[in-house]
Amino acid sequence: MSSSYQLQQRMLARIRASLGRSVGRSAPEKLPLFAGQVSANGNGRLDAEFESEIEKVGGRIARVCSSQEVTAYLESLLPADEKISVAISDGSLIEELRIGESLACKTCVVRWPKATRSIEDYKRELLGCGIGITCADYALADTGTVVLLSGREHHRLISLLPPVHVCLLPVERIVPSLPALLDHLSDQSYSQERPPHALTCITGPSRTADIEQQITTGVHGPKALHVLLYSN
Amino acid sequence: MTVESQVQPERFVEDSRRALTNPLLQRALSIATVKATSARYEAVTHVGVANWEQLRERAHTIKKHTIENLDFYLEQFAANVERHGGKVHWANTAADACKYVVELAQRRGIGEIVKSKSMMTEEIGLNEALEHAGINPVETDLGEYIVQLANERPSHINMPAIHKTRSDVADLFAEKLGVERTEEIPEMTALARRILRARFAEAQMGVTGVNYAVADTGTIVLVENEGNIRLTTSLPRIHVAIMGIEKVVPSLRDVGVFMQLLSRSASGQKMCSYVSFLTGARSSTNDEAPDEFHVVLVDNGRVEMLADEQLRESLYCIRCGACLNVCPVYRKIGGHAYGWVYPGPIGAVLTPQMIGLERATSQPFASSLCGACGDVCPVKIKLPDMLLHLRQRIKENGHAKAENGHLLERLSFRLWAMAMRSPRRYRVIARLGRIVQGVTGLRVPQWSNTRDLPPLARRSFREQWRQRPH
Repeated sequence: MSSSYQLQQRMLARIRASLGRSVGRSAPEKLPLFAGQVSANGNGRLDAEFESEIEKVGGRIARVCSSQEVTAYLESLLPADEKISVAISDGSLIEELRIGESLACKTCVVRWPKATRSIEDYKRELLGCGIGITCADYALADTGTVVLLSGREHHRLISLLPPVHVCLLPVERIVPSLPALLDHLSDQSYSQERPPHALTCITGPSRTADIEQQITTGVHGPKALHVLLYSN
Repeated sequence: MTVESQVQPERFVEDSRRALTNPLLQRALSIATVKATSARYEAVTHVGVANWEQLRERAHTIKKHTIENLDFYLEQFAANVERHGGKVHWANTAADACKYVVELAQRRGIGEIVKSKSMMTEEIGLNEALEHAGINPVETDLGEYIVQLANERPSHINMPAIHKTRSDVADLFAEKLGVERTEEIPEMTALARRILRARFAEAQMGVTGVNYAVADTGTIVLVENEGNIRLTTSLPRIHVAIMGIEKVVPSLRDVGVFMQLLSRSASGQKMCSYVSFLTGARSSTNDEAPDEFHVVLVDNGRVEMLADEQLRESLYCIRCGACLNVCPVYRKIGGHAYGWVYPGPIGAVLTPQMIGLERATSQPFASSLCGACGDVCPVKIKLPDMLLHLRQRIKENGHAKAENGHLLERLSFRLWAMAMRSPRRYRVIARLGRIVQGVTGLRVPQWSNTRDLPPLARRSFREQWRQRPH
C-alpha cells in the first residue's frame, strides 16, 4: 500500500517525464497581469447597473433606507392566510436594524444556533422555513450578482434552503465585476491564514432548462430572490 | 476506464445511422443546439468581438502556462488544500479513484450519497462502483436524475437529457416514481425537487466534480444553475470533489477570466445562477462547512496525453459544450452515438486518446472539417487540427477497419496520383471517365452512398479552348 506521499511523488514524476523534465520546478515565472474584461465601467453608477442587471435575471430589487422600510417589505412577503417560519441570519446590518425583533410578533423566527442547539436540528428547521433573510457581503454590478462570504455571518444555508431569499445589500458594497472582486479579495480575505470556507455568487433564482429547454425556477435553490438595496 | 459494458465507441457507425433515423431525437437535438448557439452568439456579440478574442487568447495562455508547469501547480494546490484541513488523494486510474470514494463511504458507514453532475464521475464509472459496493448514488441535477432513472448515459456535457422529450420524461416519472402522469414541466420539476430534497435531508456524503482548482489558495470552484451543488456541498458532513489533474489554474484572478467565458459559451448566460468558491473543511463548530473535505486528483490517461505535443491542448478543455452545440455532426447524431462519456468534437479527440486509437477509429473521421468547433472554443483549442492528426495516426497505424473501404481507398488514391502526375495520362483517364459516366454513371464505392459526385463536363476546358472561334 503506497502512502499518500509516495502516490503524489510518483504522479509528479510521471508528469515531469511527460513534459520532458527530470527535476521539479521552483515557481515558474508568473504570467503578466491581465486587465482585459468584458465590461469597462467608466460611465454610469454601479447601483443603477446592478438594478438593471438583477431584473434581467429574474431577481427583484427595492431601495430601502430604514429599518421600517425593510420590515414593511418583509411583511409584504408574508402570506396573509398562514403563519410561516422565517430564518434570519446573524449579519451585522440585520442585527443593527433589529429585523428579527420586528418580525418576531408576526412569524416564527429561526436563527443560527448558539452553543446548545444542534446543527442537525437547525437544518431541519430551515427546511421548514418559508423565507430566509441574510445580508450580502458584495454585489457585482455587471451581472446583477450578490456575493456571500462565509465567516462572521452564517448565511450559507439560510440563503439556500427556504424557497424565498431576501438579501440586504448595503449600496457601497457593489463592485463593478467578478474579476474586480477577485482582484480585491486575492489581497484581502484570501491572503489570510484562514480564507473563507465558501464564497457564493448568487445571480437570480435557481433555474433549470433540462426538460425540452424550457426554463423553470426554484429547482433546488430558492424560487425567488429579493434584494433590498440599503443606503442611509 | 469506465465499466466495460457501457463503453462502445466501436459501434459509432451503426449507432449514428440509427440516430439519424430517429425523428424525435432529431427534433430534440435541433431545438436544443440551435437555442444554445444563438444564445452564445448573442452573448458574444454583446461583449464585442475584440474583447471576446482578447479573453480567449488570455484563457489559452493561462491553460498553456499551467499545463506546461502542471507538476508545480498541482503540488501547490494539494499543499493548500491540506493546509486548510482538506485531504488529497492522488489517483492514477479510474479504479483507484472509485476505490478511494467507496472505501471512504464504507469506513464512515454511509449507505447513500448525493452527487451533482460531473463528467469526471461518469468517466471513472463512480456510480457503478458505488452500487457494486452496496452504496446508493443519487443524482441530483435534474437532467442527470432523469437519465439515471432511465438507466442511460448523459448525451451532452451540459444538458444530460437533451435527447428526451417532455413526453419521454412524463412516461419515465409515471413508471419509475409511481405518480400520476403529467407533461407539465413545472409539475415534473416540482416532483423531482420534492423527492431529491428528502434525499438531501438525510445525506451524509456529497460528491461533486470541480470546474476550477485554484493552486495558490487551495480553493475549488463549482458552477451551476439549479442549486444542487450548493446543497451537495453544504448539507452533508463529508464533501468529496473529484477532478482531472488538468483542472488546476494558478490563481483566483485567472478564474475571473474563465468565468467570463464559460457561461456565455455554454448557454449564453453572463453568469450562471450559482458559483461556489470552496476552501477547506470546517475549522470550528461555528463554521457552516462540512466536517471533511476530500479532493481526488485523477490521472486516468491525462499524464500520457500531456506527453503528446500535438494533442496536449485537448487538456485545456473547460467542458463548456460549445463545440458540441455548433457541430453539424453532433447536431444530427447526438451524444450516445459517440460511444463514450464525451461526445462532439472534443469527444472525438479525447476518446481515441483515453480509450485507445484502435477502438475509436470512426470518431475523428466524423467531421466535415468546417472548423466551427475551433472557432467557438473559449480556450482556442485547435480541434480541427487535432482531428486531422488523429486521422493520420489511425491510417498510419493500420487501425482503420475494412468497413472504411481501406483497400479500395488506397487503390483510388493511387489511381488519382497516377492520373495527376502526367497531363497525357490525365486526359486519357478523364476521357475514360466521361465515357463511363455516359454509359453507367460514375460512382465511387461506399463514398457515393452518402455523397454526389459532381458530373464531368462533356467537353474539357482544353477541348473548348482549342475549338474556340478565332
